[in-house]
Amino acid sequence: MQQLKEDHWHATLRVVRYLKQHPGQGILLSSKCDLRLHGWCDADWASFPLTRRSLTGWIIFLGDSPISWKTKRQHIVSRSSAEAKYRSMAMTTCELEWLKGILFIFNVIHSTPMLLHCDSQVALDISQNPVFHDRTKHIEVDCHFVHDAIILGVLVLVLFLPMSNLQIFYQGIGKTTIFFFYLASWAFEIFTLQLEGGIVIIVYLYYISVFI
Amino acid sequence: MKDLGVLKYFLGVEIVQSLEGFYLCQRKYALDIISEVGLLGAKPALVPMEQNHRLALSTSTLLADPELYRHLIG
Repeated sequence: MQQLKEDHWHATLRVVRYLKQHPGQGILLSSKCDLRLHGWCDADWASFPLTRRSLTGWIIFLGDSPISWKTKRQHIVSRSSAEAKYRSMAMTTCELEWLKGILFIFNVIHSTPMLLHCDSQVALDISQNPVFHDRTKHIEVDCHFVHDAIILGVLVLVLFLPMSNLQIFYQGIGKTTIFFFYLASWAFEIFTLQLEGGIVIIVYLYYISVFI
Repeated sequence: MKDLGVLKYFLGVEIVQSLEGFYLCQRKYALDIISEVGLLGAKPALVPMEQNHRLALSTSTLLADPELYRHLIG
């Protein structure tokens, strides 16, 4: 924020021009909902070129509806992508636990374990392994946190395919990716047609709401 | 207390209710931002950002009016 360049300004204007394409695009909070929390998390390892910090990206769905999402640069440099992913897993677990608490306040008892989807087999293996050794010593806090959640039956980890839509959270994306993103996302567009006599027809133009 | 009817607009979020659920969008807010920068007539961009951008390593000239930039990104 101290050294703002012309390039930053142009990039910002481009985001605004992107906004112009679908200003009415929003999200649908579906009425058919099983009230189960699903978390999806990923990390982009060492993506920030100046300090080599990694990026965390996650999104949480209640049933089919997206309710919480975030992209954030991590505080500490990760030495491997598994480490970066593990940190993002711990962050997502945090948010999942918090949302579960919020649901409890609304009298929704989340009896089944929450699902956390992660694309790194290594990070999954670390969380299943009860023994911490040299390679995981420095991320021990995160390890204990996720591991405890699994032991308590609060969380179940699921592996998903690497080329996921989560990339939209932390990478610039090409035209093909964004096409697939539309195909497989929660993105909806709405048009209201005002007819004579004040009848309003609501037309949903929506893309298949299945996450790859 | 007065019943104001079905929720339609709250804190900048437009809400439509139907049998399928609630649809939330910020069309007005988005259009306000676009008109503020004067890009209402501009060609829409397909993609919000370049792939593999190098913004952090940019060597272009410093921005003359950073206030507008800061205002735009909030």
